Amino acid sequence: MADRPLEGRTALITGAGRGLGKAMAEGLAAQGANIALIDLEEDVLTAAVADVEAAGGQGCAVGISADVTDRDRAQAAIDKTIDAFGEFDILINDAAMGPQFFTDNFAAHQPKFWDIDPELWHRVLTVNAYGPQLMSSVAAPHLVERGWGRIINVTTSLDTMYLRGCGAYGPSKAALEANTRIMSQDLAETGVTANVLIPGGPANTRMIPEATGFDREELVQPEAMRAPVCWLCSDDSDDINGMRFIAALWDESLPRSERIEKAGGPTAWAGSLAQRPTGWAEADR
Amino acid sequence: MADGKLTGKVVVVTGAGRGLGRSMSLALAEQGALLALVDMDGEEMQQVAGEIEQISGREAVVPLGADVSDPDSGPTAIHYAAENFGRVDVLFNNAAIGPQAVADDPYGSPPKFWELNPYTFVRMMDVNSAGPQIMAAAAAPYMLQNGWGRIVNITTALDAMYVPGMGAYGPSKAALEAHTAIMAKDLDGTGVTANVLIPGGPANTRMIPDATGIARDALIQPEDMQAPALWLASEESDGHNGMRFIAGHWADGLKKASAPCAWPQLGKQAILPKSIER
Repeated sequence: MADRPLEGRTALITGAGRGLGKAMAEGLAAQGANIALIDLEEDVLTAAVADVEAAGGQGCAVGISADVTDRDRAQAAIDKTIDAFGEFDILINDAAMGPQFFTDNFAAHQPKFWDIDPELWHRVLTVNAYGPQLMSSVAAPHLVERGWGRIINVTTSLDTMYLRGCGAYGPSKAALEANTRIMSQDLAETGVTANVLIPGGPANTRMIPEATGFDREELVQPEAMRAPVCWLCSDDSDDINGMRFIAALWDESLPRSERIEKAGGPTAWAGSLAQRPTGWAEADR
Repeated sequence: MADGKLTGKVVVVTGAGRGLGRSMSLALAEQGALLALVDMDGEEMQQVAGEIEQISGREAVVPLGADVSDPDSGPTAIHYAAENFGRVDVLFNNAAIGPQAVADDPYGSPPKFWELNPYTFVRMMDVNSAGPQIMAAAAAPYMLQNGWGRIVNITTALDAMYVPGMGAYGPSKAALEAHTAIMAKDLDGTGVTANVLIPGGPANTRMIPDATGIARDALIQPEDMQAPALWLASEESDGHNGMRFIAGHWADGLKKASAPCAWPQLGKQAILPKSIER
């Protein structure tokens, strides 16, 4: 029990079939959490469920095929999670369409914005920015009612948000980053928090195709997501809201405050403040 | 035909029927630009077209009803402008769905993110983020042909991108801000530039409904957009690429009124393998 501190918690993870989503699912399962894995592809899900059960034990995982941009299926995914485990506490929005949809090698071949298929650009924006909004909006009332919960959005490094050649990937993540800060403000004082967790650099997933020629060992490994996601899902992070954490900088050997200082920061960007007219309500920006 | 520093330049302004778009269009016409107005609302746009006819004549303006987020009608407006005027030099991506689509008083009674209508959220992303991409992708080839051009995207103040209660407004503008930086890099060295222009705070347009109770004259006025819009559309701004310009600071000089697009100043950049250079 001591080494399974997340016993009794249930996490729903989108894009859990592979990559970062699957790594986080395994990490959380190993600490005792129940996991609902959401992905589009059935066969990928089946294999991932087996791996997560290997990490957390028989019956700790279910696979649910769903499209995060479909409202009915998003609601159904949450209903099925509650059916399977009796509750759910944590939503991890990891599903995303990566740069590989625009170029097989973004390091060498960077399509110009005027050469990109508009339908594809739009689809990536929708999956990556609207999908998390939809899942979160369906999940939040339930979490708020229970008085404890987590929304964790996987975005990307701040400078990757405007990396050329990757179509809508970066812009869609900028939208999600901003929306996470909005979510965190809306959730203040509810016991539910919204934070961002990113690898901190290109990760060893299918988003970085082999054609890039990068040394896979040099990439951030998906396993780096495990320790920070487990901490974000624990009671020890109850006071953490509206932050972004960089998995590659997460150092469990440091004391709590130093660990947060090193890997964490506020969500979004601190910039010059907008000019405001007199009498303007000071929103918590 | 009005004579000025923009004589003969063909400028497309989306969302030209009112607010910032109308104000910029009138100023551009005063300086001799040929205007292709794009808007969903035909009546408002016809009025602006009429005002421009008074300034610079019938041949100087063409109103085009189009939805910038529609991959058919958006680009068609650009192609029509090119056919009508023989070229496209400048695109102002100004059309957007504002916070007023989410609530009458988004400041006083901001809806929570889970209370938003999903359709409205999607529609805001489509018009505010995908729309400018669709229009710019259609316009850029015309500009590249001539080796000169401007794409000007209207976003919002950096901290307004995460103000609660406005639905997808802020996030959609964050996406457009990031995308402008990408456009600028794609256009580097071509003679065409991509920049952001913002009022710099809430402006006196329908995006700030009266229900907010904010004094209208305390807001940034649409006319404040005119001077930077003229400068951006002219050759004076040659070489300025990937920047954001703040109309509310324009009187304080270029240095104070400008910053790089997006948020490169923040640090904590991606950790890259040695084999990658950005």
